[in-house]
Amino acid sequence: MHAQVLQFLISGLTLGAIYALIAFSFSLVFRTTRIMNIAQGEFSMLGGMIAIALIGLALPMFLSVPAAIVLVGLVGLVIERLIIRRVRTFPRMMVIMITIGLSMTIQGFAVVLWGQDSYLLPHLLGSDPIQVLGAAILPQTIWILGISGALSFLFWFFLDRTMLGLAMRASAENRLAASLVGINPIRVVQLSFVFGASIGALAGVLVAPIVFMNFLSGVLLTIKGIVAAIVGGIESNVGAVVGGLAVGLAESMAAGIFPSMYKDVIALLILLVVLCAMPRGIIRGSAR
Amino acid sequence: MNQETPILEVDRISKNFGGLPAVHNLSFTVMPAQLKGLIGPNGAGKTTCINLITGALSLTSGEVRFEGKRITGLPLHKTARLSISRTFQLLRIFQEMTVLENVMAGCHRWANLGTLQAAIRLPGARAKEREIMEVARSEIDFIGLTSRAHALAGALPVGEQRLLEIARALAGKPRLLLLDEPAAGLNDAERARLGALLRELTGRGLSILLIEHNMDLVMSISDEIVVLNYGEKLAEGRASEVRNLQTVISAYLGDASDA
Amino acid sequence: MCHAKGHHQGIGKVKRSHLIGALIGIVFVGTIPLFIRDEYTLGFLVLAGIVSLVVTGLNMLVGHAGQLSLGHGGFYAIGAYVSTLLTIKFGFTPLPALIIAAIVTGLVALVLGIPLLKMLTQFHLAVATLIFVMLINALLIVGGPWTGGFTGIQGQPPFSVGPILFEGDVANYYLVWGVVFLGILFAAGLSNSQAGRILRAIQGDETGAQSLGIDVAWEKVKVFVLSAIYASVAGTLLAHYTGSVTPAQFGVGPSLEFMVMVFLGGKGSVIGGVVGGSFIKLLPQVTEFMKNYRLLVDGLILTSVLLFVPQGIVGLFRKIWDRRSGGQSPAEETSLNGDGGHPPVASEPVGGQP
Repeated sequence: MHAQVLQFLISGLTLGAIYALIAFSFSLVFRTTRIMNIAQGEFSMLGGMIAIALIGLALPMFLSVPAAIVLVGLVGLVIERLIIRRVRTFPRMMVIMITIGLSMTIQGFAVVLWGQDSYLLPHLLGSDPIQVLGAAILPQTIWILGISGALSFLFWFFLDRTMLGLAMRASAENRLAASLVGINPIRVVQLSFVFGASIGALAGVLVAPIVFMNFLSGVLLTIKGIVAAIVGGIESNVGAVVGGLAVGLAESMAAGIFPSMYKDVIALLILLVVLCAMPRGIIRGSAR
Repeated sequence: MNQETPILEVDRISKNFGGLPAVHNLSFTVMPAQLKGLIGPNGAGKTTCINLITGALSLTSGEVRFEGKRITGLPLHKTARLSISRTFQLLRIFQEMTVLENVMAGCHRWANLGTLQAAIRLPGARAKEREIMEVARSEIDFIGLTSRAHALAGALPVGEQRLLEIARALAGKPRLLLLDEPAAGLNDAERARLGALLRELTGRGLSILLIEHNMDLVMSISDEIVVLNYGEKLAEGRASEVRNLQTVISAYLGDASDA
Repeated sequence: MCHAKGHHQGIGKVKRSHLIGALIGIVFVGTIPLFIRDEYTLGFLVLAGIVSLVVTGLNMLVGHAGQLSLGHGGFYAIGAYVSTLLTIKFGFTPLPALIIAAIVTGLVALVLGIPLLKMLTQFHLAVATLIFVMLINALLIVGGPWTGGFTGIQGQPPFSVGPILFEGDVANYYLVWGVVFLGILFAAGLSNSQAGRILRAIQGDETGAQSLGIDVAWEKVKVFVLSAIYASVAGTLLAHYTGSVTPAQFGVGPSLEFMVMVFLGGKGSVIGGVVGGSFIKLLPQVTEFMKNYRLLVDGLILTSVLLFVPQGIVGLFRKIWDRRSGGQSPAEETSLNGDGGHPPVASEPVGGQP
């Protein structure tokens, strides 16, 4: 029993770490551009799929993974240049719909390139689980937790403590004022979007060995990441981590309690209820 | 209506924003068919006051009574249904609708045309629609925007947008009208015309609470004036009495307000 | 009358040009089956009508009230599955089944709508409705004995009203487009009336609308339920036409596709639904290789429309028409042809709270 609970805890933390990364990238883009990017999860999907494709082309793992991340970062750059820049001043509804259009377009490309099948990325560090206290931990899990943890710390540090991070946040608050003090808002948007895309891709690459990926994976990751970000509190650094872990643990617990057939239904139900109940985030409390 | 009973009573209202008192123990009344001015330097709490009265903000303490009945705690759309109309300091007109449509929307308060009724054009609905059109047109004529009736609200200059918002508020046939800085952005001629319009409205029996920054306008048309500073009442009385009070003068000293 | 063409002749009275346009449209749509005997194409026309119905309803929510719903595929599904279950498992006749399915869908929309439409922002609403349609889709898949899982339910009989049976492409064509016509009539009536004005006021400025005594939250829920009912009826007609329901027909893709149709046709335009729906449904007819490319094309269309033609096809025609008829200030009235999208005005910038 003990071991089982521990198992669920670990898988919950693992998933949670992934969601935290996505939540973080979402939050980063929002805090610096005031845009809520529904296509964020697609970067993760792309990251995973491209890495898988590169491996399929006989590229070694240690090249495929970084290459995938860089490529997705480039995609982010292109999107920023072509689209984000133009729609900054559009009414909110239009911006949301444009990110949806982007999401569909990216998914569309995925279908054209890779069809509707699901794929799995080979494990980064071997697939033999390590036994800890009766629970089996994949090396992958350690990677994920480690990298997410390190990144979270780095980002907190970056956004809170460095000049560039400060500049990015200032630019989001008040573009004009920021530019008056020498910050280039255009660069800021560019940077944060590319960062966001890259982090998303990283999350995708990390999760691809443990969860099958197909063209629709992005949507699922998006909503989990978004709910995680919103519930954790989108303005706070800690929020993404808290929200991500919460969503991951909830999902894991649900998978443990309910028959596995209902896993998706329960997960979605939880997401919906949580979003309705706490649109302002755990810290700020419920809607009223 | 009994001339003795105030149409609006603000009774020791207070509002704290996390420990900072925006409005503190404020009391004043508006009598029927009276034009009451509410003035004070920037940040004195004037807009907060209107928001508290209409229910856009919740009171920390105190009570607001309209025609003798408590309205404290009612949300914005419910106070509106009680014949209280308001305009906003930062205009809230419907930019993508025409002037006529904006004002017609204002008739909602009394017209109350249900969705189904309206859509399938039951006979009762048709008559209501005609009435809405007539009332809207007459308010537009009154305010002087007849030639702009079919223009997009968003395309109008600020001065006309302000008039539009007032016409829209009037279309609801209110008994009390709260105006939040309606003269902001108007030139001298427009301001004078606005003043004349407002006086005419009180002449017809409408009670008005006018928040305004522009001293000339307020002093010239108000029956009485309430002066706020730092969320508290400094003075209340006739314009001539209030303008010479030392406290009022010193409150405005150093304030960059002008005509 | 010395008006230029763009003016209201009177609220409630339909403009002459619109009446003529409507008559032409009816004649056109009504006589198509006489010229097109090809079953394959006719079938697509039936489907075009069905989605047009959904989008016409959706447009009332999106175009008039200004609320986003990415999840109307869910109501579409409920209408289809509930009516199928009622006719096959419980022996209802099609018409009562359709009505009951619509009521059930309406109730679901009500229960969902009340918390959802109080949501802080458009964005929360968009995500929540997206989750909703994914949830419905997942439920359909694990529904087992009730929903038939992946394979769905087969054997839905054709639609019938009393002795009149609507079997085959031609009959369904007239059935569906007849319903679409009624749906457009209602939507047009709504749009041109005070009720429509109220919805547009809500989109214009919510607080301003509240200050006029409009119960914004409740009005949003009402139009949400209304649009859900449109989707439900369409879903029911689909089930009767194709004879079966499967989860694959009712996923995220189709749901998002409805939104593409809204914006392509013209947000806020009453006939935008027909234009957008027909266009997207008939596109595969024109280009052969659509199967794999459908999602991509949808995405590209949506993005391009929003970037370059935000007022949609109908809005575009409207602009061209206005310019040709003497350059009156464009878009003097909203009514049938909608005011389409927004120009990039700073009055409603992207910035602000999540």
